Amino acid sequence: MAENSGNGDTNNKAASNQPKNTPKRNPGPTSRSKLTSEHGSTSIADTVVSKIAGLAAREIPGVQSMGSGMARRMGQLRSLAGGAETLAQGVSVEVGEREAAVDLDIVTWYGQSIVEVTEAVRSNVMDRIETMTGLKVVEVNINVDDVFVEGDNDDESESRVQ
Amino acid sequence: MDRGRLAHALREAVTRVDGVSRLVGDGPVEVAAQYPGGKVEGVSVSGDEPQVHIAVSTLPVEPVAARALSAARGVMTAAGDDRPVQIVVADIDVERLE
Repeated sequence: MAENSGNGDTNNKAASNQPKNTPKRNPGPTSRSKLTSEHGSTSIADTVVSKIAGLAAREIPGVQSMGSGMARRMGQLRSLAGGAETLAQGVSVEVGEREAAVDLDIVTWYGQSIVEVTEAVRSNVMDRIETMTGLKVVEVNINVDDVFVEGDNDDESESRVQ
Repeated sequence: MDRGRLAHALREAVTRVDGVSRLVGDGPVEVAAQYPGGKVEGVSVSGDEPQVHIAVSTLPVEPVAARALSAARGVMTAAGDDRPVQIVVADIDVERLE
């Protein structure tokens, strides 16, 4: 099940069978998705696209982690309990018959060019999804939710006074 | 050409230029080209103007930078990329000024 980012703004992206509306020319009668043939069609679930997007984003070294604050805390709790950070954490997708749109929440390392990291992420996410699923990626929105500073930790520091 | 290959090609071509001692990635913001699995420091391939940040070991700087620029331009042309590339001389590695 694809996990949506925790902040509630961009959620409830239900899987739809209609491609997301984008201004584009109507495909001609011979245009076909790679997923459709005379012998039947393949449809791709949201989860698949979410996981590929999550993995593709993590392949870029500048991405420290994924997900908004809330989602990351859930991920930390889950890993304390022995689970692993979900691959789809921080990823929200909309998948149609031929196209997909992706929203990502990422955390970058402080000191890096955010433009560089987000461009690399966008380019890799589009490339991976298009190559692996045959879906055309119409947009990748990236929200840089936080920057990670070395030595900074979220835990309460020990109180100075008893 | 994808970003990783382009960045590596730029690094290779420019570091081979006589007088370029190394590429420079540090600064207030890191200069690097990120791609899946790694990054090339000292090269930026994002946006409208790719850059290669070099350190020069021969003075004066201009001829070295000009050679580096032509090497970088060669890579861009071979990659079919028509964006203008910029060489940034970020440091010099010399013992003394002659």
